[in-house]
Amino acid sequence: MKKGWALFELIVRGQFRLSYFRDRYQKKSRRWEIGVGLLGLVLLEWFILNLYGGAYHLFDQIGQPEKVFQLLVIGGVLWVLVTSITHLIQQLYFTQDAEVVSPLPLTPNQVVGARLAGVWLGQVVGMVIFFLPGFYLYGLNIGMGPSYYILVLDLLLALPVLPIVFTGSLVLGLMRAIPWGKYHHQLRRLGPIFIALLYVVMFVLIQWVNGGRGTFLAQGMLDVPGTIASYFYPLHWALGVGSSGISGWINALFFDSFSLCLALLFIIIGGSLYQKGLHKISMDGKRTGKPGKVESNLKERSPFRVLLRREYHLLMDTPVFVTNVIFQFVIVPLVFLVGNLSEGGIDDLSIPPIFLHLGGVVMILVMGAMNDGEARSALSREGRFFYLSKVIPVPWRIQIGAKYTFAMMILLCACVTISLLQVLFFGTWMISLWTFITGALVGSLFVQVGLLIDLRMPNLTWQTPREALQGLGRLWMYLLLAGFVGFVGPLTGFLVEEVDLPFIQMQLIWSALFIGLNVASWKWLVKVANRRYQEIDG
Amino acid sequence: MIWLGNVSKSYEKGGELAVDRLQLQVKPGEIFGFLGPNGAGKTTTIKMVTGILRPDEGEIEVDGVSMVDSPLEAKGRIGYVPDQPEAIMRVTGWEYLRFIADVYGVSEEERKVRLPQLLERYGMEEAVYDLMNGYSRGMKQKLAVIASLIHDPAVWILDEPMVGLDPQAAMVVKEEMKKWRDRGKTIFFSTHVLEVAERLCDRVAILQKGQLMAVGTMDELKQGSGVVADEETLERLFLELTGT
Repeated sequence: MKKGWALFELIVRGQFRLSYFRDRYQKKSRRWEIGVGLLGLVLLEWFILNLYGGAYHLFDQIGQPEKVFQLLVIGGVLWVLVTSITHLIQQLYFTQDAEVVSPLPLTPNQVVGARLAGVWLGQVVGMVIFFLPGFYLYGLNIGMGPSYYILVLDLLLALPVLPIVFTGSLVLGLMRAIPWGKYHHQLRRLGPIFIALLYVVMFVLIQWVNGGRGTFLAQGMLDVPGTIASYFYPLHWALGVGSSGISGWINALFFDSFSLCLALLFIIIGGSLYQKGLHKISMDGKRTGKPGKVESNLKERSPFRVLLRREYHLLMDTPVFVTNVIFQFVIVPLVFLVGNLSEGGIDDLSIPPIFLHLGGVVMILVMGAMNDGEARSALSREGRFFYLSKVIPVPWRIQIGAKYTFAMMILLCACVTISLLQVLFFGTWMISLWTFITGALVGSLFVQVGLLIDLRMPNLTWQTPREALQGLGRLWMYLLLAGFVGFVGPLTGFLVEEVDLPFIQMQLIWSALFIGLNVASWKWLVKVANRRYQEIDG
Repeated sequence: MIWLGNVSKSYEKGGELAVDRLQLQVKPGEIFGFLGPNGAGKTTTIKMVTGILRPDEGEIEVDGVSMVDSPLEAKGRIGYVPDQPEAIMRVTGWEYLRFIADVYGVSEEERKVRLPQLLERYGMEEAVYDLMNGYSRGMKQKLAVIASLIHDPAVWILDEPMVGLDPQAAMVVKEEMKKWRDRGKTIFFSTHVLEVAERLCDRVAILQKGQLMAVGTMDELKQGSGVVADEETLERLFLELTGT
């Protein structure tokens, strides 16, 4: 127990970066960041409270305010179910400390228990931030007694256990069943697609639950908690925690006991599965070379092509990076598709071409800008191997050119997706063509902004790939600049429309403007790259 | 003592053996060098001895305890320095050492005695309070060495321990190995630096394609092979035996 606790403590320190933050904020000059962070948290909580306030009002109007509690419980379970997948995979499959922990005198159960507890704690923190305000607001509105608030805290501790055990079992099962040594790399690439598909399924389910054909949102969700709980009885206990009087305590007792037993059972059974799976992972990547391939790999290739291929591998070989890109192409078109279908189609709507066109361009920009942006982490993804870029005898112009080209290849996919969706739903070939052209031109500016940001403040010292994508300062700078670029275009469009030009002429002027901007920004980008590649410590 | 009885390991079912029926014994009170070219199976063997990998066939005993049947007890008797001391990086060196001491059940009294000594010996008294992700490779290696010795293990296993160390630290590690040998402990380490093996080891083994090519003291190897003259160095012997 003591040994397992020691590992848990270390995992928690690493997971929440406790030592890092303590080290960082020992310096007084950086303490302002704590204030900014707290302010951000307060704003977030204010936003969440408003959201829950609106939801409560909605359900109160249809005379079923108690459903808010039930939806919060089910929402919490689904939240953990989805968000814990990546965390569990990272902790069990792709953990970097496996070879440090394996030779230590720790039982597999202790290791699984400590790792599971780390994931659980992370989820509890998430629940406190995103769900606790909802539970408390509900209690205040309904006028619940003090015991309710204590029971809710207890519920937040127990609620993540069930979905974590469920996803953990899936992950351990996969780990045991699949011959990782052989297919590890392929699965690493498939993983993000699987997660994206899961989100798609959830999104479609939510739309289906809503009624999908104009049914009132809240009305459609009323039966969801009961339906889900009917498939898994212990959730009735969780839903019953919101009851007043002794009933709430009894339900909490049952649910806590059940969750505890489930966690213990998982740790006992999971230990042996984990150990066997870990042995498979330790054997990954050995002797995969195939004889006879040498000659075909000796062909000469241009540096640009080689670097473009390197960009592909930098992205595709790391699940977190791939996930970010896949989201751009799955979630946004899906929202467009399902949103329109659920409204019964939009054939009957008479949208002016300019708005249709601008809508498409904005969608492309959203696809390009959402999540962490491919271009904004183009240098950072190289991490500690950035020094290779500094030592190879390839001009910086070509290096940054390869990064730009690769990011544009991804963005062009977004342009094609949105343009095709426009054709599919509106049958407007000409507008779609211009959406593609303008989207590509404006998107190109976005890509260049992203590259400039990463050239300005790259994060090359990351330990886990997720860190390469993080950085509050970079994100804000990107959003500000992207916002500027993203709004100058449409604004210009409106101005041009004001002078009452035909659509084609307006597009031609618009395109010429963006081509000019692209040429100028490209020159600037190359100039910055020539300087920064030398300055950045590899 | 380390004992390997006909240990085999393949990374693919029915595939080429990374370690092929390896039979080896390392006695207490000796420094044993494990040599071989890249891909010879040195690290695979070490991973099996430390319990990271499970052998397909054969038995492994550490200090008289079976690694296959009682892995926990066997692991408790090993101090292990991996070839790439990366991993748990977001904590300070001190927090990492405390974790290792907790896991090996080192008492507070023992910690008070051993930790300051080890930290001083490797010049890590101040750096130990810094975050590990700021460490150089050499510092990480030093910390891995300290962590491997906190619990006073009966068997000390080091995978390429000299890589990344500055000459002073390398000398300290070599002296440490001698000291531990004199205390009757078993030291088993892999290296590419033949001179180190030649000067430091009581016995060496040479591995090639997972098979044991030679084992013995330097003198035994030089005489036993029959192809190398007395004045030849280990390097020559190594090249002869591995055919490189």
